[in-house]
Amino acid sequence: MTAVVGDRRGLFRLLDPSTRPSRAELVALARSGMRGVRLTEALDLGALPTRAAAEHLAFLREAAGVGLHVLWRGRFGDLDHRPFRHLDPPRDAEGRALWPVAPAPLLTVRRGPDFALVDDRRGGALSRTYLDDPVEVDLLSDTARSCAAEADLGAAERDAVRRLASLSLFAPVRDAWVALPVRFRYART
Amino acid sequence: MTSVSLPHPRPRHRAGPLRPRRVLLVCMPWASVDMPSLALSTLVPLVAEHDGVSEVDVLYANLRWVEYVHEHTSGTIGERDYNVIARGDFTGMGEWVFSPALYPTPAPEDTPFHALAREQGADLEAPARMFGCSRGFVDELAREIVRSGPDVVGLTTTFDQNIASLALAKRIKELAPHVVTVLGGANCDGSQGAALHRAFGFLDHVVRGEAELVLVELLDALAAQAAGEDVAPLLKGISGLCWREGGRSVVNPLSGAMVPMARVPAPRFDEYFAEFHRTRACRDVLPKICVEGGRGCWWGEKHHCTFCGLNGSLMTHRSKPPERMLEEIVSAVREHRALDVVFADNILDMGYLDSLIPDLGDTGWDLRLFFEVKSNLGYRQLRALADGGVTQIQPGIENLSSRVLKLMRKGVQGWQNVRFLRDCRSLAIFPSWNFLYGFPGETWDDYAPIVAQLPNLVHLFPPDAWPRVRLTRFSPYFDDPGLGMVNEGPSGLLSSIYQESVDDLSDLVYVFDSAPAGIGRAEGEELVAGLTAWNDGHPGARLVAVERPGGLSVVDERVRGRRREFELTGAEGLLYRDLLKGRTLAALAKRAAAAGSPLGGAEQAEVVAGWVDAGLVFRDGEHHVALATGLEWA
Repeated sequence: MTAVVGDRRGLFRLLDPSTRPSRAELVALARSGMRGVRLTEALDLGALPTRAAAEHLAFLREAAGVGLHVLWRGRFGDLDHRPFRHLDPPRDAEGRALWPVAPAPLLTVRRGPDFALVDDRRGGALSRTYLDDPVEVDLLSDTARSCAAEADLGAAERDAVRRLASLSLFAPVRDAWVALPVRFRYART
Repeated sequence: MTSVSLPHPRPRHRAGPLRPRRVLLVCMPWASVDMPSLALSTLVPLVAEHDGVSEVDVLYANLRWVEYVHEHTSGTIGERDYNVIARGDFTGMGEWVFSPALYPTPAPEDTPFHALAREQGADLEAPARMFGCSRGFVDELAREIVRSGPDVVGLTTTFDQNIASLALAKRIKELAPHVVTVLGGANCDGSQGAALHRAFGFLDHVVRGEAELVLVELLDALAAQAAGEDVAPLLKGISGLCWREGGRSVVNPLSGAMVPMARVPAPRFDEYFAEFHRTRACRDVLPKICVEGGRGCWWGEKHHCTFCGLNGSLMTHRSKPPERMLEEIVSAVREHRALDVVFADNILDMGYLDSLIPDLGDTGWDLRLFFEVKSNLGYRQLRALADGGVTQIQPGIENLSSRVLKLMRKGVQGWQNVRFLRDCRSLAIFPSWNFLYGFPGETWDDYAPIVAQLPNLVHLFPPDAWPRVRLTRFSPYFDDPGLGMVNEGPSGLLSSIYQESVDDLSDLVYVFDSAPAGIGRAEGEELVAGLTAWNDGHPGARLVAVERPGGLSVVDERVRGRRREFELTGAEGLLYRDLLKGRTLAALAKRAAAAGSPLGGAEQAEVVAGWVDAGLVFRDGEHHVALATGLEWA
């Protein structure tokens, strides 16, 4: 046994930002004891293609959903960062975070049989909402649909996304949409 | 002023020869406000189906109380203060708060309880303000109930619900002597129910034991009474019932029969959720569903833990089939839109692990389940729980010394408890547990090696509390003085509340004082200091084994600002993996030899000793168990 003092690896797994781990992979990572992932390259979201920027933001949400943090350097550029301040912030070259890291998810969604329960603490006090519309429930709880280009959405989904956006539960990234609530399931798929 | 209007009763007309009766079931403080009373939720369908009953309703007076206090203290005292008392950390606190509603009582600071509790370090600021509210609350509630015109009022009492329930029954009887008052619940089991009935003449009936069968028979008798029949022969035949004959308390013997789980109806939660949604003081509370898979304790049937009195007079374990449980849960989740499900069972039915639990996981719903479990579950069993949605458990850990655990007949060893805590950490299952000490026969030799290793456990979930063990009714310590716990009589705190109204409190209370046992005061303080440091140091602490090519890295981030990483070679890594289950050095050597390890027995012992010194392995006598989280084992 060799003891090494210092931060050789720490408990953040290095991750190429172009890879997108699945929920099952994130769960395995969380159960392995890791605190999170550290992206190997800086990201300028404003300069990325819309899809890549939106997918990165969705990845921050998915990682938070299993209790993992994402350490990443970069900036939002011309994209509006305000809807995403409940997720892990980008850091500048000196390691300064654009906003404070929340100690626990501030906006969560839990899926039930025919409803979704949204707890929102972004404003400090708890606001609790039950959603019953099946399209809205699917959009918030199905990873495959919670980050989508406007053009890929059907008419009912577009309407639902706009309703959810009016509740600050979806945010636009140019012509794509990203669901904001974290489906928090304690390291479970 | 808070309105205490009752929920609208639902008429349930039944054809029958006898005058239909209106029944109200009441849940007084200090039942949990975040879930329904399982007792009342289970009884209400039975009462509703009774031919002699026209209306039945359930009043969640515990929720009303939170609202009442919140309004009467300008919002300064609320649900959190309620929960501090409801958790039962301090014996008798909840009983004391309601004592002015039952007895003529001086100002809170002039009561004997206040002086005793202050001596023992209790914070009485919020409870004292509640104390000032209780009489008015009970009076308003009783008037409201009487106005609603019930024929029968049934109250359930467990832990600190006695005084509040008694106060309400007394006031109802003063206002409307014709209303039949019935008390039941765990606090009425055995001699307690008889003592309550004897001491409080305003209780018409006390139901002892499981109420499902008794209450139905009692309703039969009450219906016959309303029809002018002589009901004494009927009442005489009801198992365990306390009733009155010419003003004298009559106590029927308990038949010993158990209610088969098939006879227990699916609980009805409508009244709770209706009241909950009206309770503004609980708006930040997430309501839960409370279900019952089984009763009794399959471990207690074999080896009754020496300190445990939870199962009263009925230890035999029985449970509902998993298919029925699934149906009950699915139905309740759909109906009440609650995703947190609490199993009231004293112990998980192990059959649920490969039936109910995976079925709940397969729903795809974001359920959070709670179970009480035995703490010798292995990784695969815990993973099945995690995958099924179990996020919180109450394991019977109680201590980390194998010898002390043996004294209490827990059927688990210290190293297994440590392993269990480690695997809970890996799988994000949050255990709620207490470290108990003060057992007859324990010595500092049992604790010294544990205390020395507590800093190495800081990354594992610490205990919630670390009290000396309490002497409780129905426990082997209570029933068998030969086990070494010296009974000094009913809890002094409780005695100070009941005043002279009860001739012999030893028949009535659940908690007793006992002579100091086990380790001494100074040793206890040393143990507590170690446990407190564990609790303080836990946030953010991690010790994780990370796979790497050719071996393992154990990353130690248990101490803030000190990060260490231990590189384990291939053979060392395999050895460390072998310690995930927990083994003796002899067993380890045998396995390593069979696997062709290049490390001989002596080398292994040296390596393991180094790991113990570095805090990577917990040692319990001959057993060693790896402490790093993040690895699976079979």
